Amino acid sequence: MKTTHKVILRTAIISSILMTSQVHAAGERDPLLTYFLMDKLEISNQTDNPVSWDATTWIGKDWHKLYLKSEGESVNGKTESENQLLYSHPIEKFWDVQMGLGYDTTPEKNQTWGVIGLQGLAPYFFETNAVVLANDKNFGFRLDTEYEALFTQKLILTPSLKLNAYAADDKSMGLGSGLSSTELALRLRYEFSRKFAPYIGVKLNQTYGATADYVKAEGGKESVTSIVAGLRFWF
Amino acid sequence: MKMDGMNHSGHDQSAGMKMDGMKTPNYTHALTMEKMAMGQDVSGVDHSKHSHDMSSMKVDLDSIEIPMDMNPTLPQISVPKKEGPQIDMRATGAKYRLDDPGVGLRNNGRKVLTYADLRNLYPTRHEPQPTKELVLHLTGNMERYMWSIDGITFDEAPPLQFNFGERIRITFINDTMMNHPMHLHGVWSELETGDENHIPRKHTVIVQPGAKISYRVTMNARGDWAYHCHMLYHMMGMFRRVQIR
Repeated sequence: MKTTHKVILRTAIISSILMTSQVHAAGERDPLLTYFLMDKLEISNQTDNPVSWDATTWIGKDWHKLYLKSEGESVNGKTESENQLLYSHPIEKFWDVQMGLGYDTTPEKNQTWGVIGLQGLAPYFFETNAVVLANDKNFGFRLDTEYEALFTQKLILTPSLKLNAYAADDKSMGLGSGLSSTELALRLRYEFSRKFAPYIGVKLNQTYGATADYVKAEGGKESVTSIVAGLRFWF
Repeated sequence: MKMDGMNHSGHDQSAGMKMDGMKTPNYTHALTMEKMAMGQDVSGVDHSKHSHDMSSMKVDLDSIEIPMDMNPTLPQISVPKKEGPQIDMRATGAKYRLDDPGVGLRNNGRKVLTYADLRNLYPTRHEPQPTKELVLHLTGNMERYMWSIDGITFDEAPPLQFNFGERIRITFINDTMMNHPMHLHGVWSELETGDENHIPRKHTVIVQPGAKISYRVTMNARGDWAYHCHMLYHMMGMFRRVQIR
């Protein structure tokens, strides 16, 4: 518990420093912009064809943005999701620090996190998102990275890696301690326009340790390879 | 000065330098020059001058050209600068590239006119020399689509102030990967092409990616003048107020 409070305190201190060290831009130079990206909206070939999504939207100016991120999966009316509401601020050429609240849902239960993370472009063009989550019961770490290989200007192959790790077991949320789950995926999209691209792909979802036990207890498998088809669009 | 078989101009001859392998420039790959500029200074070669070879050199007093970098070092006008996430790269080896047709126009089989071909019809050798130099970096972050001059946008920048009648040398260094046509209202931008006797007068001067360019301005119009990049999307960041009093 003590460390939890320390982390939350540290998060609060870092946030307040970052928020107050800002020069507020004003005037027409820096208009208020909005962006919505449905990065993944896909159906898989698993039983009952689960639908999953991964969306990001933001509103803001050059130096201050408010992000809402949501990803999850829905099958037979049962939905699991991870959502984050974050303040985002550039701290490096290609990196933003992001902090705010996380809200996870499962059919049984919800939980709230304090979240702080980095989002940006790692060397060699890896679009990367790494966050630390904390609440009074658990700590989490989620890493998300992808690369876009352009065969042509329109045909784009995106390998991606997603990794989740937690400090404690939480059966009600289906999270086991240690490395909990990974997703390795390969998606090939065709951009009919920059804003509209259908894709096909394959993904390998793997769970580990206690997480794998929870999945098996519900009749699932610890390792699932799926074929997916979906849409990517933004505006 | 190292010579790596790159563009060597005749002006260097007049400066008493010896060189071998004189060639016209070969801008084979679209962004070669920019990449060089963004990386280290791969050679000390000056690309400022015309790309004519020695055979086109005339022994004519009117056409004796003084290499731009041979200008005496002028007192520098200091301007505020800022670092931060608004700048994604720096041109560490920026060169004069007046004879570079630019990305997309190189080696296309046609003669492409460049700034190196500009020549004033009237002699300019009696024009006064500049007494001060203003060096400005054109900066930006492509990924974030933020644009600035020396890391500072218009709304944060103090005006550039000049005294009526003074002659200034302005040098731009383009730290970005895009062209920026810089337009100074109210007064002439007199482009240094290396030919002191035929300095052309311009309104807008394009600064190529990773390159530098110099011109002279006589501040002979009192007032507040706009000074900006002519690309609409860059304009509000790359904008300054010029005050001539």
